[in-house]
Amino acid sequence: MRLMVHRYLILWLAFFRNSLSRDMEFKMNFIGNLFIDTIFYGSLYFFFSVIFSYVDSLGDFSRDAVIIFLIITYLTDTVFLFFFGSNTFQVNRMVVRGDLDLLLLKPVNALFFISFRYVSTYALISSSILIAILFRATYLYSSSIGIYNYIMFFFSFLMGILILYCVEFMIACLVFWYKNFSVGGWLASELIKYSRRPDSIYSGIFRKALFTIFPMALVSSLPARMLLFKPDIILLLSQLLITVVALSLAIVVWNKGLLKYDSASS
Amino acid sequence: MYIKISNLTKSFKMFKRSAGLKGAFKSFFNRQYTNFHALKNISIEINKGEIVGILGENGAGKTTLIKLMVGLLHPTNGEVIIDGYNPWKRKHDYLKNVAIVMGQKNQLWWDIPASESFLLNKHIYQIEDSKYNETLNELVDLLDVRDKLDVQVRRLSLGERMKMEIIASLLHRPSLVLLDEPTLGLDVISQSKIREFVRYYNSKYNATFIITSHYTKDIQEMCQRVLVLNNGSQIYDGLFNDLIKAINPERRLVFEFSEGTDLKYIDSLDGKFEFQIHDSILTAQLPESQLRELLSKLLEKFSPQSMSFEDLPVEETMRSFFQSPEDYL
Repeated sequence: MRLMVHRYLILWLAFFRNSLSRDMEFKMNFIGNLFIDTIFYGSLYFFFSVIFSYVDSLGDFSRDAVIIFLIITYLTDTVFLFFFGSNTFQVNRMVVRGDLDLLLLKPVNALFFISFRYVSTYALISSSILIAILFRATYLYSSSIGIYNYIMFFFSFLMGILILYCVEFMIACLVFWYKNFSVGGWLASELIKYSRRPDSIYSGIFRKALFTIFPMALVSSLPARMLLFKPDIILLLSQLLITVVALSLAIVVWNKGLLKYDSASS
Repeated sequence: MYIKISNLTKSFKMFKRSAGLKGAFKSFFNRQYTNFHALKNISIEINKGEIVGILGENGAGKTTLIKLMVGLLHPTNGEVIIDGYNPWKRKHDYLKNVAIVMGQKNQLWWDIPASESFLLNKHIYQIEDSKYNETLNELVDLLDVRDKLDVQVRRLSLGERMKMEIIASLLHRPSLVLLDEPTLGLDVISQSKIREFVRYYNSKYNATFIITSHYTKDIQEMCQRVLVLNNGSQIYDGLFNDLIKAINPERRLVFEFSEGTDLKYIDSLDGKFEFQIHDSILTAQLPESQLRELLSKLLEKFSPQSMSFEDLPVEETMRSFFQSPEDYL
C-alpha cells in the first residue's frame, strides 16, 4: 500500500512538472487566468454585498460569516481547479474523439490518470493567497475559533472537494452513454452554483437534499460551519459517509462507462 | 503461441439517417438503429517475434482488430489471448509489455518538448534510470532526432513527431508493438527510416509487431506475413509474397542485347513467348516458369549487355486485388 501511494505521488509530481512547464510556455495566458479568477470572485462578493445592504444575516450566517464562507467557496474552487478542473472538463472531448485510447493503455489506474494528469498550476497562486486571507478573516471574526475548528474544517474541506469532483466527474461520464454530452459541463456548473450559497438560505426538503442526495451543502457550507460554529462530529461523519458513497458511485459509473466506450474510429 | 485470436466478432450499434434537414428531424424523433459488423469470426495465431501486416481497405476492420487486441474494445463474440492475458482486463503486467502507435493520435504533450513527455512515461512504466537512458539514447540515434529532443512538439514536423511518438511508445521495451498507420502522411525518407527501425527493433528485441498501413510498400518491406481483411472478414492469412503471386503470378524480364547482335533467332521464339523488343531491349511480362524458360533460351544464344528480373508494382497488384478479391482467392 505504501509503495502504491509512493508510486502515485511520484506520478502526480511528474504531472505537476509537465503542467507547470506547459503553463509557463504562455506567460500572458498564465497571468490572465489569475485575473479571470479575481474577476469571478469579485462578482460573487458583489452579489452578497447587495444582499447584505438589505438584510443583516442569512439564517445563522452573519455578514462576516458569509464573507468567510465566500473565501472558503473560492478556495474550494481553486483547489478543485488545481487538481481536477482541467481534467473533468476534458472527459467529453476525449471520449468523443477517442483520445482516451492511449490513456487507457498505460499501466496505471486509468481513473487516477484521467482525473489528475493536467494540473492547473496557476491555481496554486490563487489558493495560497486565499489561504492567507482565510486565516486573517477567521482571526478577525472570533477568538473562539480554535485548533479543533481548524482540524475539522481541514477534513471537511477535503471531503467537500472530493464530493465536488465526484459530481462533476459522474456528469462528465454520461458521455459514455450519450456519445456526446458537451452540455455536461454547463449542467455541472449550474448544479454547483448551489454550493456557492450558504445552506441556511434554503429550507425544507430541498435543504435536506442538499445535505444528502444532492450534497452541494457539503462542498462549502459544511466546511464553513466546521470552522465558524461549534464543530459537529456527527455532521462530519455523515459527510465522510456521503463522500465514500459518492466516490464509490464515481468508480462504478466510470467502470460501467468504459464498457460502453467504443473508441472513435481512426 | 504468443497471440491467439479465436472467432473474434465485433458489432457496433449505429443509427442511420437520411441526408438533409428532413432526415435530421426524422432521426431525432425516431432513431433507427442497425448493427454494423466491423469484424466477423477472425481467427489467427501469431508467434513471438513475428511481424504481421494487416491489409484492407478503409472500413475493413483493421483498426478495430488492433483495438480489440490491446483491450480498448470489448468483443461481441470470440476471444483474444496475448501472452496468457485477456487484453480487455487491462492488467498492468500486460500493459507494461504492450505499445501502440496510432498515426492519427498522439500521447506527447503538445506544448512542451518531447523529452518531458518521455520522462513522464519513465515514471508511468517505472523504468530504471540506467535502462531509460540506454533505451532513449538508442532510439534517438536510430531515428535520428537527437537535435529535436528539446523542441516543443507543436514545432516539430509530422515525421519528427511520429518518430517521437514511436520513441515514447518503446521506452519501456515492449514485447508487443501495434502500429496503426505509422507512416501516414510522412515523406518517403521518414517512411523508410521507420520501416528500417521496425526491422532493427524486431531483430534486436524479438518483439512482435502488428502493423496496419495503407501503403503496401510498408507491408512489403516490413512484414513477411499478412492478414487481409475485407468488409470485416478475414480473406487471407499467409505470406505476403504468396499473396502477390496468387494475385499476379507474372514477373518482368528486361534483357538488353550486346551491340551488333543478330536478332534473327528471336523471331523463332515469337509466338511461343509474348515479348516486345525496342532498341535492342527485350521486355517480357510472363509467369515465372515461362520467364525462366525464355531466359534460358536467350542465354543459349546471346550474352546480355544487362538483364534484370522485376516484380510488378505491388501497389497496382493490390489495387486490382481489392477491387474483386474473390477473383483471386
